[in-house]
Amino acid sequence: MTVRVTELSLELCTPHDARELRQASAWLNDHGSKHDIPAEQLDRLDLFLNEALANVMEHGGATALASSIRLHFDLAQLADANEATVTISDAGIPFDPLAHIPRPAAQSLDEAKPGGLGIPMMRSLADNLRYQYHGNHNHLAFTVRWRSLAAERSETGGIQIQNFERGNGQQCEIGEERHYHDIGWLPLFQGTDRTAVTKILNECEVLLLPAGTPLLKPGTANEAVFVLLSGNLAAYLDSDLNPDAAISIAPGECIGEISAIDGKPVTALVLAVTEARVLKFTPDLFLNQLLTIPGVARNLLLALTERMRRTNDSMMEAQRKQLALQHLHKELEVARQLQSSMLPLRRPMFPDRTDLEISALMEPASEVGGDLFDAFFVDDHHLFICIGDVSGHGIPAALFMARSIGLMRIAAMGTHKPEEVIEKINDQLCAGNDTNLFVTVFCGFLNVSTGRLVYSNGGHCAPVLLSGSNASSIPIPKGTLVGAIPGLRYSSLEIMLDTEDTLVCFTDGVTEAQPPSGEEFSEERLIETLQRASSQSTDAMMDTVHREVTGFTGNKALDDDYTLLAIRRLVTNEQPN
Amino acid sequence: MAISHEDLSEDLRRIVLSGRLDFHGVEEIIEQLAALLASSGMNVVIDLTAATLICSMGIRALILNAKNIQQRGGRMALVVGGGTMVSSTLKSVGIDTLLPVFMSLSDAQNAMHSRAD
Repeated sequence: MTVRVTELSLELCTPHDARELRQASAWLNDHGSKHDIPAEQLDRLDLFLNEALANVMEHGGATALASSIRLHFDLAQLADANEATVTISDAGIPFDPLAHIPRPAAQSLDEAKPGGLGIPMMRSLADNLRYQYHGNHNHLAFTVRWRSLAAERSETGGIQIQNFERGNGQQCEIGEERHYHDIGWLPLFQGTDRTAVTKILNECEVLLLPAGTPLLKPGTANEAVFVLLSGNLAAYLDSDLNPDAAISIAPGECIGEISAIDGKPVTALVLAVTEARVLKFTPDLFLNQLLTIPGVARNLLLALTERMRRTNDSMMEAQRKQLALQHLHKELEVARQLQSSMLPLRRPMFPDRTDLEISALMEPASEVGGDLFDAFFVDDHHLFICIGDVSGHGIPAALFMARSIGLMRIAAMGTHKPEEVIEKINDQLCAGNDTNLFVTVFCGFLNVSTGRLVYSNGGHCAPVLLSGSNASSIPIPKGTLVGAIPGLRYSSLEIMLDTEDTLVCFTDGVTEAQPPSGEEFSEERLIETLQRASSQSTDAMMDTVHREVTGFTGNKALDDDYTLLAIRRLVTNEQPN
Repeated sequence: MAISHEDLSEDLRRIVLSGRLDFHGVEEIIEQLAALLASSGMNVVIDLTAATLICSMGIRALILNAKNIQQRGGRMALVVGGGTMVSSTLKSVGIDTLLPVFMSLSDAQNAMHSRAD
C-alpha cells in the first residue's frame, strides 16, 4: 500500500536565469528537511534537480526559456520504504534521457572529452527515473528511496546491497561505502524498480577473481550472466592472448549474456586483467526474474547495442588503419627510391676512370635506412670518400641521414682536411638536434695521383686495407660520434694506397649481422671473405661479401642496415679524362 | 560559492573551492578559477573538502583545466573529503581514473612533490 504524504509544486517563471536554480534548490531543501528526508537522499534530489534544470536551460531551446518550468514534489510511504519524487515539466525540445546512450568512460585525461556527464550522473543518482512527453511538455520524474525504520529493524542476511560499492583501484578510495543506491551506477539497473532488483540481488553470489583468472573459456557451455562490479576484464578473441585483439570490459558491463541467451558455446576467453569482483546471475534469476523487471530488458538491449556499435567502430578503425598502413608502405617504397637516388649506387661508379675502381652496396634493414656513403671528386686529383651510420632505423634515421650527407657534401667542397669536414657537420648537426640522433662517420681525401689518403673518423669502425691477399684494419684517429656534442675537435691520419690496393669501408651492420643462433658475422669473417675475394673486381667483391653475409644469417631479416664501399687504385698508363 | 588560493611552494598552488558548485556556483567562479590556474606554477591542488555539491558543469571545468595544465607540463590533483556528496559524485563519474584524488592535503602535497622529484 502506498500512502501519499505530501504533494507540492513550484513554478519557475524565468528559467533563463541561473539564479532560479538556487530558488528551486532552496524550495526542495526546505520541504525535504521538514519531512525528514535523509540527507543523502535529499542531496541526490538536489543534485538531480540542478542537472535537469541546467539541461533544460542549455538544451531545451527557445520554447523552454520562453515558458515556465513546473516542479512537482511528491513524498510517499511504501510498505517497507519511503520515496520522494521530483517531477520536472518543461516545454522544451523533446528529450528522453533514458534513451540517451552515454559514451564509454575515458580511461585517461588524454582521452577525456569535456561534457556528456550530466545524463549519466542523473541516471546514477536515481532509484527510479521515468520520462514521458505529452501535452507538448517533457515530464521527467526522479525518485529516491530509503528504507523505513521498521524495515531496517527487520532486515535479514543475504548479500548486502551496500557492499556493491564501485572500486577501480585508483590512487585512493573516495568516500565511505555507499548504501542502498550503490547499484544505481550499474547500467543494467538504471531506472528500474530498486526494490525488485534488490530482492534478486539477495539471491546472487559475488565472485572474486584474482588477476589472471579466467571467467569464461572458449568452446565451453555457459548459462550464467555476469556483471563486472570492480576491476578489469578482457575478452581475448585469439588463442595468442594478443592484447591488440583484446576487448576491454569495464565495471558495469555484462558478460556471458549472449551464450546464456542462445545456448551456444562461449566464443572468447574472458580473463581478469586485474583483481575483479563479478556479480553472477543464474539462468533462472536472469531469464525468469531479472528480465521481467520493467526497464532491465531495455537496459540490456541498450548495452548490447552499445557493444555492437563499439565493435563496429573498432572494425571500422581497424580497416582504416589497414588502409593507412598500405598507403604508408607505398610511401615508404617511394622514400626508399628517393633515398637510393641520393647515393651513388651506380655500377661502375666512375665509368670514365681507368685509374680507379669504386663499388658500393647498401642493404637497408627497413624500407629506408640510416646508412650513408659517398665518393666524388672535389678537384682533378682529390677524391672525397665517406661512409656513415645514423643511430636507429626507419624514417627518423633516413631523414637524419639525408641531412648528414647533404651537409657533408657541402663541407667537403670547401677543404681538403677531413677533420674539418667532420668538425663542421658535427656543429651543424648538433644545432637544433632535438631528435637525439647521431651519426658515425669515416671520411677522407684520396690523392688519386699519389695514393695518399688523409682521413678522419667520428666514432666509425676502422676500414680494412686489402693489399694483395693481406687484409687488416687501418689505424683510425680517436673521434666521438657526430651530432652529439658540439664544438668537438677531430684529428686525421694518413696512409698510402698503392696500386691494386683496396680500401674497404663498411658499417657495423655487416660485422654484426646475426643468424637466429645469435653469433655475429664478425670482422674476422669479413677479413677472411675479403682475402678470398681479393682477386675479384670491386663489384664482384661486394657481391661476394653480400652472399657470405646473407648465407651466414640464413636470409633472416636484417637487424641493422649494412653498407660497403670499396676503393681500389688501378695500374694504368693512361691519364684520366 | 567561494574561491581562495595559497601557493604552497614555487610550483604548487592550492585552490580551495567551498560551498555549492552547482550550475550557478560554477558560473560565479569559473573565470577566477581559470585566472588562478593560468597564473600558477606547474602543479595545482584543487581542495574540494569544503564543497557541499558539485554538478556536471563543475566536473567539466575541472577536467578542462586539468587538460590545459597537462599541456603546459604540469598536473592537477584533487583533495576530497571522505563520505561526502562531492566524493560520491566524483566517484560516480570515474574522476579517479582521470586525475589523482587524495583524502587530505598532506597526501596530495607528498604525492605531487615526490612525483616532481
